Amino acid sequence: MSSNDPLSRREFLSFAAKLSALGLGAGALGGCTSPASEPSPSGGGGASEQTRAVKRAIVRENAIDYRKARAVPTICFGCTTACGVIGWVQDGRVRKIDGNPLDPNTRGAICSKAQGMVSYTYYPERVLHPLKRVGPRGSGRWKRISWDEALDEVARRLKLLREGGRPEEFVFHYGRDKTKGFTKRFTNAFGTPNRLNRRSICSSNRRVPLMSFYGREFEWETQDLARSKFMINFGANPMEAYQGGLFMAPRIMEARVEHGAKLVTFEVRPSATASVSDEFFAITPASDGAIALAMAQVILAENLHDEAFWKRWSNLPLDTLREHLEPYTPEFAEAESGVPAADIRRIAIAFAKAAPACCTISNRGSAKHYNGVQADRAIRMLDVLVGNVGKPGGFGLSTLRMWKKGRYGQDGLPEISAPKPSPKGPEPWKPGTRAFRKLPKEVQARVRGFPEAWQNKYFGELATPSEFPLSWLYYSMRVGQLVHPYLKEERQQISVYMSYTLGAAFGFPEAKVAREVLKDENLVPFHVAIDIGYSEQASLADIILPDATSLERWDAHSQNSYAMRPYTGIRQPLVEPLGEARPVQLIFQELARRIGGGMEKYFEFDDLEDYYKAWYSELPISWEEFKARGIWTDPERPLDYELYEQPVPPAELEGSTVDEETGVIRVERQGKQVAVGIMLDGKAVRGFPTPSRKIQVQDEIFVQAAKLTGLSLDDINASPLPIYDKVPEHKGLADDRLIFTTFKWNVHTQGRSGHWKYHAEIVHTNPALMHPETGAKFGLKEGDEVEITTYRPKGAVYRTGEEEPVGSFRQKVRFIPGMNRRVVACSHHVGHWEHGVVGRGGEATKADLPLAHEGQLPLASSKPADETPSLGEQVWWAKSKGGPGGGVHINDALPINAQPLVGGQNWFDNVCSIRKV
Amino acid sequence: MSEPPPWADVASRAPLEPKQPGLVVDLARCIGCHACSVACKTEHGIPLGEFPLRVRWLPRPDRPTFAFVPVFDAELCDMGANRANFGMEPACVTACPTKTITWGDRADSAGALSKLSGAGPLEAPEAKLHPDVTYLGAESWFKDELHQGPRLDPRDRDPIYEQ
Repeated sequence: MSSNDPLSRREFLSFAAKLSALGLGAGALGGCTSPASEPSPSGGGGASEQTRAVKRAIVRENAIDYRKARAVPTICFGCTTACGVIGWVQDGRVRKIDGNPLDPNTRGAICSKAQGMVSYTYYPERVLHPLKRVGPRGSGRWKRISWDEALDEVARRLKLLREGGRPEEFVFHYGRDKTKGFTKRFTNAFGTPNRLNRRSICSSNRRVPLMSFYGREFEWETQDLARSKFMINFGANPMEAYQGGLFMAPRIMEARVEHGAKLVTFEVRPSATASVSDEFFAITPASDGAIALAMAQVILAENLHDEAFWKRWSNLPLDTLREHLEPYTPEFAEAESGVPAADIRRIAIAFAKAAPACCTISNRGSAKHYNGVQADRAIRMLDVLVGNVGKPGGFGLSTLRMWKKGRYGQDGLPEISAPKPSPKGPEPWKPGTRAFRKLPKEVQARVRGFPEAWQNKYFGELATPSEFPLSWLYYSMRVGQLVHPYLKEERQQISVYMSYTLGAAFGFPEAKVAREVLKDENLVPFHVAIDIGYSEQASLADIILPDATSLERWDAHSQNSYAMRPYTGIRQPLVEPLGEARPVQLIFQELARRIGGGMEKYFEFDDLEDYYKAWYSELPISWEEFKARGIWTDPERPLDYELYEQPVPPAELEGSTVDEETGVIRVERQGKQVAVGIMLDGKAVRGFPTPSRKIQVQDEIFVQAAKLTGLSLDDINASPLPIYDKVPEHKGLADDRLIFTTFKWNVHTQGRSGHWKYHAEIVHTNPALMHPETGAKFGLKEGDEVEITTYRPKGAVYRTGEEEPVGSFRQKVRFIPGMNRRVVACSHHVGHWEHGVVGRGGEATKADLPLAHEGQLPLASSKPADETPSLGEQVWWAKSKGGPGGGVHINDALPINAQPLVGGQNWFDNVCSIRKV
Repeated sequence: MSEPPPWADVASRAPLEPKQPGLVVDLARCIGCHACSVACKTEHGIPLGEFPLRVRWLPRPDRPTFAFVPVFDAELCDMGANRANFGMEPACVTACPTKTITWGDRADSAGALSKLSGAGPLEAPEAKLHPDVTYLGAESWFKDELHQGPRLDPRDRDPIYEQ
């Protein structure tokens, strides 16, 4: 049978035989094709004809056989965008992914990462049996155990906690959880609030500005890019790495190429997005807020704002705004950012003149800074100022990442939700409760000072850290990078730590702290990892439970749609799980049954297909049709424009009251006063799901949170209005210091794609990128090795210590014009020491992993001693083959830097020094 | 049930048989994402180290950014013959999110390629590029950066990636 990954022995030998007939070694197959090894063109027509035949054989012999292959639709898991895709299945294996043209969000687009699903389902070191460690934790020695033994042990430990009245000592820490709430069902039924994640590692800082302005429901925007004429991008990279990137990139390119739309990018490096922009400015890091505020000043001064929109919908008087913006002149922004004042003026005017068909784009690049929450508030304010919010071509808002009947903007949609009964969440840790009394005294004092509404959402320092209220007041985003430091400080005690698709040991800031804590059996008495592969995180477990991959399991799906109308999709198994791998949903069902005590009643389904079919009982098409097409949408539904102007239906107004002063319309539901709209000019309209039903450009929550956590009111993060100031450690930055930033590639995803073979082939190193003039200033030549040393952040941030430096690593420099001259950048995807032979840059894993697959699949071994031609042999970039190897791990040197009040990890503020080695 | 999805019944589809298969690459649309090259390798099970197609990130001489140029190997690229046998466009065309690559019959005066006038080959004779792949928006300086084209060569390791 043809195998996709890797070559079977038969195919390899047949190529090798053909090549040796030509006098070429097998090295020509998997190695660098240098000019010396090419057959010379003058070597006779016969030799080059034979080469061509061999080459054609390479292309033909393993190609998909469409007489046999069938496509099944599902949802991609290559990143968090979750595109609709189809997988081609031949001889019981998924061979390849194409886009699903029926997905209205992607319209059939995919990216390279979709093929990663094939890589991670079929690579040699995939763990296919439950494993238990046989040496000290982290020593890499494992034995295979049965599912019964594994589940019995995990359930026994969990049951002890639950029956002992200490359920909060169970921590479930996930990295990527696409089970639409299934794991939450387990943790709620269990009774622990400690369902921890890594949202703060990624996007908390950019969600808070949106939720502050527009309400909790609008944590993610949906710009109407296809119709936009002018887009300003502050540091985002939708062409490579952005939640929703594949919805955005095609529309942005179409708008530019076919409709003359313009894209302006402010960035610190020449990303792919910068490369396709009509204008690109290499700005000083963390200066986005200054530029945005200066643009606002210009727009007002030129009278190009939408006064009617602002007056109707913003909660800030224009005169107050004008006065507030006085210091933020274009000249000030030029001094901060390096962008010429004349360009700032020109771009602001062009943006405003294109309104309402214009929008801002921003994500981590602007937000993951000490001043980043304020920067994003300033950027979002531009859209409000020109009145493009919810208009064609403008800054759209969609609630559909969470499809929930009755939610704002979801009128008339079918219900899609988990079957009842659903377990209730645990009770908050209010003053006087058992869990509260175990908290450190200073924490107790702080929580006692919270208003009751906040106390009702407090569940301890791991789930709801009291110093970061904005990480849990809107909804529980958590502060993932503080979990291990807090455990080290013994702020809370835990007994069972469960990792799920988590890369903390590799990818968290100061990842060495995570590893140190995970190895400590006093701090983490028991660690069970549910994962699809032998990751750095799984290597530190006591038991590994092999998960089914996304190609082997079910899930419901919805996403905010850049087609401006709702749709839903289904993730379904294309093949049976390999080996003994089991979908996480079945793992939790088994654990619930063993733990018992009422947990089992929330997991009463015989079959996962039946479970998800029940989710979709209200869908207007049959389950069979939904599975066949993978997607449902209502093409007749009006587009999601200006949802805030929709009238409140008369039925909803019955029994309502109107606040005399604010116009907010409220009704009573289940004993509570709920706002449903606002009376404007005598008409009842929806408005926004904020307390004032207006856009909260001014928001007192920042002041309140500062007061209740002891953050100085002079701190930039305490401001009720969007403001700008330099990042504390960038003030007076010494001449010999640079700002170290990380970035994402289009072919990788965070720290979990190191072993995706075709992707690692493209990006397997992470050189230190800098401007040639920066190199010259430090006396460097291209390719020199430098040591990069990082320093502690300043400001009111959590620091793991005060000793300097934080850490260092060595890397080779590459000169890239287009870098800002104060920046040095590396990507963080590589430098793995697990994730198999591809992840390790051609070196076989040192761990003693029982990887017998009982003939189910001809996986080649990664061990060098084995005769079978292996995937490892093909890794042409391996150091043993004279290549650069698999990159350098940098995260140990990147300081934990949790944004005040919000908790987002400020990845891009790092001050560093460099020296030639 | 409504009509079957577009990917159904592939085994019984009539083959596409262009007399002169060709690809046109509209460089204005390329975002350098590698969806095409990774899809091609996955489609054919190509070993590491061999590239029918590779997306080059060429440093521009006029701006401090990159030009994205997918280049196709004269010997390894077969114009999607395998998928054409089953009525489907090549893997690279189907994978591209921005419709950068168009496939069709150069002999068909009314076909998809006929609408893309002005496409020409990249002038890079050393690079052994596929002669039936032409480009809209090619720039004269590309040839200075293309040596072995898709194949690995130290001179062609784009600086943004390799150390």
